[in-house]
Amino acid sequence: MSFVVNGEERTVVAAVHHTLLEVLREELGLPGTKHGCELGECGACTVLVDEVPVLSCLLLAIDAQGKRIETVEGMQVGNTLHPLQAHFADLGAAQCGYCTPGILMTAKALIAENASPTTDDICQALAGNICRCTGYHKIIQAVDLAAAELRGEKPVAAREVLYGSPVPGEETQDE
Amino acid sequence: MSDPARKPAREPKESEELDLIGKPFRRVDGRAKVTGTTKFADDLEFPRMAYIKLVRSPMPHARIGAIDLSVAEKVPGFLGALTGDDFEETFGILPVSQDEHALCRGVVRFVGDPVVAIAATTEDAAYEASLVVEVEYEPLETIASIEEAATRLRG
Repeated sequence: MSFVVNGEERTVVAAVHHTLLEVLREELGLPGTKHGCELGECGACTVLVDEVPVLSCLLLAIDAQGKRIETVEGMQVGNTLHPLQAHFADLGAAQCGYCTPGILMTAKALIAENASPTTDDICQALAGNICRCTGYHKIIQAVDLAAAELRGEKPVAAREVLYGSPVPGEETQDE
Repeated sequence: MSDPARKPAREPKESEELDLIGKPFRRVDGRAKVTGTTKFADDLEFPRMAYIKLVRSPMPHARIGAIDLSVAEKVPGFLGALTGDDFEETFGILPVSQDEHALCRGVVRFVGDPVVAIAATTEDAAYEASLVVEVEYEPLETIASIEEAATRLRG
C-alpha cells in the first residue's frame, strides 16, 4: 500500500488488518506517533490525514491508501522547529511527552482552520487528547502563543506562565 | 571560608543581571519530546525480539483449574508460555502490593486478572495463540455491591 507520508511517497507491504498506527510505527519507522489506549479514547495516536486529525489506532492502514498523512516527525523544517513545537518546548508543555505528538497534530489542524483560536476553542479542539501528567495549562498557553506567532505577532509568555503565580503575601521584587 | 578551594568559579557580577537565576530555560529533553524522538519503552526494538500477550480472566472470582496449551503451542511462531506456577516470588515493592504475583496463582480476583503469558515471534502470533488457550475456572462467590455485602453480613 502507498501513502504520502510527511510529503514523501512511501510504499510498504503490511498486513491488511493492521492499523495506520501500527504501519506508521513498524513498517514506516516513525515511532513518534504513540500507542495509547488503542480504543480511540486518549488521542495519543492522532495524525493528520488530508489535514484532518484522525486517530490512527482506529483507522486501518489500507483505508488511508493514497492519502496525505502527516506525523510529528514531519513538523520541523530542517533543523527549525514548528512554532507549536518551539513553544511546547519553551513552556515545558511536554512533560513526560507521551501525549505531545498527538496534541501537536491536533493543535496544528486547529490553527490551520482558525488562526486566532480563543482559549475555549483550544480546549474544545484538544478535548480528545488526554494528558496523563495533567499539564493542560501549559499546553493551552503554548498553543495560544504558537497561534500568535503564526499570525506574525511576537508573543511573550507572561511571567505567571513561566514561573507560576506569585506566592500570596510575598512581594515580587522586580518590575 | 578563606579556603582557596572553596572560592566560587567566578566572581559575582557587579550588575543586577544574573546569568541563570530568573531566566527561563528550556528543559534539556524538551526538543526531543516535541519532535517525537524521545524513546519510550514501547518504541524500543531489538533483533529477534519476542512479543508477549496475556490471557486474562473472564471471571471476577474463581479457582484456576487445568490450563491447556496444546492448541496454542501449534500456532506458528509460538515460543513459550508462563503461568502463575512459574512465579513463586511476589514482586511488590510497595506495602500495598507486597503480596502481588506477576501472574495469578490458583485464584483469579477480577475480570482481567492475568493468568497466562504467551510469547511468540510476532505480536499477531502471540495474540492468535492467546486466543486458543483453554483455562478451566471453578467460580467462587463474589460480593459486588454494598447492599449485597450488608445482606450477607446480616445472614
